[in-house]
Amino acid sequence: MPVAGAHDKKRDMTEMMIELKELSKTFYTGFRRRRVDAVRGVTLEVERGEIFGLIGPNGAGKTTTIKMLTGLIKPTSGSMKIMGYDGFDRRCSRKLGYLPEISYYYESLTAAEILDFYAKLYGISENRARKVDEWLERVNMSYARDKRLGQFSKGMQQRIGLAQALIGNPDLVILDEPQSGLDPIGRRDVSNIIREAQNQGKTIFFSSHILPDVERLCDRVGLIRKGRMEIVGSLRELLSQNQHIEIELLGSPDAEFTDKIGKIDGVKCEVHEAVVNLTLDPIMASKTNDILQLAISSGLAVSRVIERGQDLETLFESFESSPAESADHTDEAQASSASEESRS
Amino acid sequence: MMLTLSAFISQTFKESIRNKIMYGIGFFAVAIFLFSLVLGELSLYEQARVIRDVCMTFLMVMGIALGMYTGIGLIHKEIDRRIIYTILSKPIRRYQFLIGKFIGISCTLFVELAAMFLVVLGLLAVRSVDIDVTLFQAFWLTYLQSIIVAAAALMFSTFSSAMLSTLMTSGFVILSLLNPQIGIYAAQSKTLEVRAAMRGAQFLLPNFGHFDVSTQVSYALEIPWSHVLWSSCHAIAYIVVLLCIASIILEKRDFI
Repeated sequence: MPVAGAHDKKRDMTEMMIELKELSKTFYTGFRRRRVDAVRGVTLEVERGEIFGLIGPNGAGKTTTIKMLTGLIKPTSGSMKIMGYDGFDRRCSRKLGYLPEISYYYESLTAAEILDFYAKLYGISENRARKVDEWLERVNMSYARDKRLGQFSKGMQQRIGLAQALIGNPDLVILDEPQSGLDPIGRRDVSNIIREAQNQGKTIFFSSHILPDVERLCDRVGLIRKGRMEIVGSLRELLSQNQHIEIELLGSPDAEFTDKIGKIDGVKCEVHEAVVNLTLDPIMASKTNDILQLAISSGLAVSRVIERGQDLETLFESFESSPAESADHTDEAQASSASEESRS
Repeated sequence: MMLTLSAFISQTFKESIRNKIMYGIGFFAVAIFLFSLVLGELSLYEQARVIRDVCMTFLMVMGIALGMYTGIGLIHKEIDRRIIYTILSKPIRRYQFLIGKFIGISCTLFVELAAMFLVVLGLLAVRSVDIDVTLFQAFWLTYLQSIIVAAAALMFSTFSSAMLSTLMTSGFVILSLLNPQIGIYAAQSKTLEVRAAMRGAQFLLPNFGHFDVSTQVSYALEIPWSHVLWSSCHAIAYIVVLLCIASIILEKRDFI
């Protein structure tokens, strides 16, 4: 299983957009200054041009990690390099676009005014009006150009949020739950914008609860839980784990068949009345035809052959049900409530 | 730098001016100014003095109230609605955000107070009351006072909740209004510690007594230009100190 911080020579050769080493953040919240370890020693690398998905349950430390990447929170310990710059500084913020989780914008400004405002913050002085119109067009919001944001639905606000994150033509785009609260069409549009940004050479780092979207979009994912990065790897690697082939045969097998099957390593045989279920390990995939031949010659009928892999949801659930390493169980809830407490 | 500042100034100004609550406050102010005409009629041979006095005093009250409302409201709205996240992650310095916001608030306050002042001038003209330079000087000092309150509100908003910021700004305003009395109390106090504390408070707080020219306004007395100039310098210096403190706090703050 790929482990957080796994580092091979090939990855050393590529340009790293994000490099986190043992990054931690501890909050002291409430009147009694209770300690909350929101992020604990996260090590992670994201290379140029990839879409990286950060997944994890509520209060796992996703948003805190993202806020450290965007300079809203200073890390307690560890090191952080963004686009080659140590920590978050103005030089890297010029090339960074960020969409926070559940954000709202100035309600009394129009869509064009709000994008003009963010374009100014990026220091865009030339052709600003043209860029604003171009981005309104790209997020399908041209029709609401002169409407005030107070009249916008959640989906419309999210599109404006994406446009403000991308209007500065950033190299690195950080999106915190970009698809939350959107209808299927809204989610599809957001996915298209993310894909389009990747095609333009941008690196996308995003967190999400919507696992099918992560599965569809991401090149690599990281699973964070109780502040620790549990696994990091390419989707292909992660989803190929526990992959197997299932064969269902109909009929009563003779002793010779069960004996022969029992001698093959990597094949599990279960017989229930007149149904035989065979489970083949991935290494036995090339022997599938031979096994089917054997079954047919033994008088069994092939009912179905299914190749099963695990999806991200199954992987997520399997990590959820396993105990976290030396993690304080109360910390998860504390971390998620840290924000509320500190605000109050 | 200028582009960033202009972005914050124009955004703050538009946001405040388009706020419907502001129109409510404006109508309320006009109602009070009209009421001053009634009060003037009730006073025998003192119509001019009463109208000038009531209108300019109410303008001062409005200046303080609007300074508090915009100073606290704008920053807390940005934090509560997480708008600030999208702003501070952009290539700007945090102090630019504060300065831009403050200039935007100052422009808004100027427009709002100037609109009310124009109504006052209109009423005085209708009632054939003399319009002299004292009124304009009083308006300027009222405006300076309101932007000091806005700067203090902005500073308190950088580290506390909206409720706490309101309480602290209210305390700041009350003590600043009482600054001359604190000086008198310090001079009369026999206890060394109390005297030191009073002197300290008097030194730390702005003296709103400098901005209160209601007596001169009521009796149309001349206000020396040196007083206006000195009060302006006092206000600017105090605002610079408040914004510096606010910038240091904001720079160190984590937005969790």
